[in-house]
Amino acid sequence: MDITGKNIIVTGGANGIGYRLVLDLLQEGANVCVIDIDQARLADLASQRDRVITVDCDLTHALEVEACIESIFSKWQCIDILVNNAGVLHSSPLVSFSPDGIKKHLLGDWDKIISANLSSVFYITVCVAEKMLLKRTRGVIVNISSISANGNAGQTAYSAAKAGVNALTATWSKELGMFGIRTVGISPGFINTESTHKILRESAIKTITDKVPLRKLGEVHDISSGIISVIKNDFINGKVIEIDGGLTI
Amino acid sequence: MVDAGVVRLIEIICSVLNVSVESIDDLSMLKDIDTWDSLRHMELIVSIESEFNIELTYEDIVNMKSVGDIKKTILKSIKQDEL
Repeated sequence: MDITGKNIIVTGGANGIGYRLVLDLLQEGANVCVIDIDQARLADLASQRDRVITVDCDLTHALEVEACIESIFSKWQCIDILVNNAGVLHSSPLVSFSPDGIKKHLLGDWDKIISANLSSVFYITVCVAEKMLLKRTRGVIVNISSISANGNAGQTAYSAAKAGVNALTATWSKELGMFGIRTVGISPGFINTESTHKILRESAIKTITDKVPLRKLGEVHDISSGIISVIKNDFINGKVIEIDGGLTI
Repeated sequence: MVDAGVVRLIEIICSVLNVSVESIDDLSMLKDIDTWDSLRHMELIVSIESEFNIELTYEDIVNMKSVGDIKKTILKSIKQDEL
């Protein structure tokens, strides 16, 4: 698929990997709609770039998402590509010991993380896929997963949510494939972003990079270029591509 | 052309729904056919569109409730193409 002139929605496109992807897609000649809740960054993006629409939308509210997609569709009349990039990283084991005693994973955290990383993907994709079917758009849905989907100790809810996203990728590739709509997953490893350095101590990052065969963190461009490659390749469907420097081999 | 189209249409319906030609007629409601479900319905639409090189509208799709409805819709599309 040629990206030039295509209408592309990127969720969580105001920061990190999503932001870099938005810049690279614009460079490729696409029209990009960025959905995020970071209003300041959205305002910056909208003021500095042509061919960008920004929408402040909480993807965990189904009705808000539906209204958002209706509004984008009425403006564009066609949605070619959806990149489900928005998500919230969260670390908490099922049960842990602390100086205060044994601690259970909070139910509220479970609900919040499943909602932000899994339900949100369903809410927006069901609306976008409906538009693609009605317009017979041979589009692409890219779900950003994580290597945590394989089961990462200390990330009960996050791992479950991302495993769910991988299941959605496989399911939608079969359901929508007959209409020429492809669904692909991208599973980033540890990436050199602000949030990685915020969440992990430098010693932990060193331990991780020692385990990566390439002995380094990935850069946001590595993920962005991977996403663009799977959009362009018309025969990739239903797979989750791991871009992790070989960490999960 | 039209007769051949109807024959081919029935073949497609039977193939997608995995039923015999004898077991369906114009009055057969899709939802009453055991092997019909929403996913098969999508397959049916894609197969019909591909075979007849047409694009069904949303109204066409939601009005396709029986075998007779499908026939009418497709015949209408074929005739429009022939005009």
